[in-house]
Amino acid sequence: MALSTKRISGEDSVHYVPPRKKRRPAKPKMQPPLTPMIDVTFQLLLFFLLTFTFREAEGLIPGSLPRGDQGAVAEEKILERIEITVRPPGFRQPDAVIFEIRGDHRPIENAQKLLEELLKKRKYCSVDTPVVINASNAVRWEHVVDVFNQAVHAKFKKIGFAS
Amino acid sequence: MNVLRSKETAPKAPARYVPPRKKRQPARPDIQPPLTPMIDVTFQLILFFILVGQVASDALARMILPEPYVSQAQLPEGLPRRDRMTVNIVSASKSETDLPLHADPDARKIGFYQVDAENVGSGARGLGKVEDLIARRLAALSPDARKSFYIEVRADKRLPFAAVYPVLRMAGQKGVSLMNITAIRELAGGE
Repeated sequence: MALSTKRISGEDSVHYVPPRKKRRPAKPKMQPPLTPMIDVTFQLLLFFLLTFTFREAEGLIPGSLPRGDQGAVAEEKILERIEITVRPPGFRQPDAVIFEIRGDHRPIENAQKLLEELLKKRKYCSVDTPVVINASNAVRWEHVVDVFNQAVHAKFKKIGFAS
Repeated sequence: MNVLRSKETAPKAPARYVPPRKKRQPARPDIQPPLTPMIDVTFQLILFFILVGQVASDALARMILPEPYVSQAQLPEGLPRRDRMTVNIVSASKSETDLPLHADPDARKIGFYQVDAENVGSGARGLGKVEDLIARRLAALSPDARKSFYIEVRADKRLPFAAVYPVLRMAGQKGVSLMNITAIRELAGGE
């Protein structure tokens, strides 16, 4: 491609004339339509917020049941076992609870003290010592679970129920 | 001259209304809020809800669960669904808070039994159905699977022990050797 030049009168030098640039049309602004996208996203968010039922942080306390027809408690000939009685303190207080460990004639008022007692017993009992939770029919399930939980916490393996 | 004359004699045109000249207004700038960060944040929220939220299962009836002191409850990990059966014992109370007995006497009555997602009713009939379902499930399992099969007892903490004990006794009689009790987990950090 030949270079275009021009001469200016009175000058010897040749001036280079750059090729004329073509005017390009302005680039159209490209922006995807975001509003419907936001609409859909908010719809999704609302859906999740309204339909989700959050589950409580629940878990399982592992236990075992004796086989056979003897009910939930193994009625084996056990020489040594820890029997915990769970009962309401009185007729007028059905929601309250008192724990008693057979042999110890002191009532235990709460789960923390029960755990301390069970940990003391664990020092001279093996993990295979059966623990029987003898709960009164009227006592709330939450108190029975509390006793079961403390027995599991004290690392006892054979935990059963009686009523 | 002719032209001038003709201009003088030309009839005057009626006055026409000329609207006031409109001011040229500068073109409005195209204002558009920055939407991209908004979408980003919204997607982050959706992702948060999907990842953090544990969707409530149909097999888990709504109830108030026991919250023992220093809970030993753990997440059931690595156990396939077919190897367990959830027995829900739901209170008759409509309240979702633990009220005193005199304020909510229904809290100590059984509303219904629910085995996995199936509501089997209440009373002796409901208990009979629970027994039937456990027996059927055990019969469908191989001897090896039967050993690892367990029932998950989910009972409302307000119920009396007498409402739960028959289920435990019956499961033992049917030959179920493993039983897990559902309770609220101790969250990390001692919360």
